[in-house]
Amino acid sequence: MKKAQTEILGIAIIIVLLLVFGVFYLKFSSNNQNLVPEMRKNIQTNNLLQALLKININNEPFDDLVYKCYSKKDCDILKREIPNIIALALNAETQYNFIISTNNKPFFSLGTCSSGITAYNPITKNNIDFDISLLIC
Amino acid sequence: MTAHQSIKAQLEMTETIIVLFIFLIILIVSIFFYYQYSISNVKKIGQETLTTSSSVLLSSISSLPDVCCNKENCIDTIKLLAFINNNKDYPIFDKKTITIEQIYPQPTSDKKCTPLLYNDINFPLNCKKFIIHKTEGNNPQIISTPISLYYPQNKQYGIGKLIIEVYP
Repeated sequence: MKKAQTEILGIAIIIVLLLVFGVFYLKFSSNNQNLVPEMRKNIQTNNLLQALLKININNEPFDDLVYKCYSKKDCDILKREIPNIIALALNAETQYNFIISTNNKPFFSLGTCSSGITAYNPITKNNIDFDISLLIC
Repeated sequence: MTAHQSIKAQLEMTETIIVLFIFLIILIVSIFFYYQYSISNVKKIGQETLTTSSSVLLSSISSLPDVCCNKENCIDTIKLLAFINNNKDYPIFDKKTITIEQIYPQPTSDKKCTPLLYNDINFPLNCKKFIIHKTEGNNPQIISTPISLYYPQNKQYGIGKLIIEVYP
């Protein structure tokens, strides 16, 4: 084989190798992140918060309990019932953070979770705006 | 053609045949592995599609006009009970068992909710589950979400758990 032919063959091999590496790189570098679990957690968090806000606990509407917790510092029912409800609705091991605040100042907080999916809902009771957020890890 | 040339030609022919044979074997093995990979990929995509469609169902059931509350995002239990006996036309329920469990207020019984129990004075505490659609099968993939339930008799709300079991 002549020298020129050998060199062309060498170049062809290098090109083929580069193409193979390129194909593998594209395959493994493509973003294959699965968003379904996150979407599901988002649905769960939003649905749970929406459902919580509508229920009566010990025959008292949820917004009354929030107002009572804020004005009379009587948060015992919320402290006792919310963890039970969240454990039943999701999973006993699920980490969460449930916060009620007004004017961006939290006055009631449950749980230790610091990052995850957050659902947020404002409510108004006796002309006071409360922000209720539920964060699920 | 001399005898020497004939032997050389035969040798080259044999060499060519051996090379072709090895090439064919490599090609067949490559095709086999490629198809194995493709099939596993197709199965994975199928599983992902099933999971996605179930997750979509998880969020869309509470907005079905047959069961949803009039204004708010919740499930009306009286509509739900009527829907249970009349949901055969929903192809999205195929290969799925769909159940709603009441979790708050916590029922005192594990019974399935029926019109008879619904009309009882102890409802919603006297039954636990509304079975919307049932499919028999093995190894289901289970997904769930909390949902708001509305009880029109006493105009109160409860919390339920929508459970979807997807059979492969």
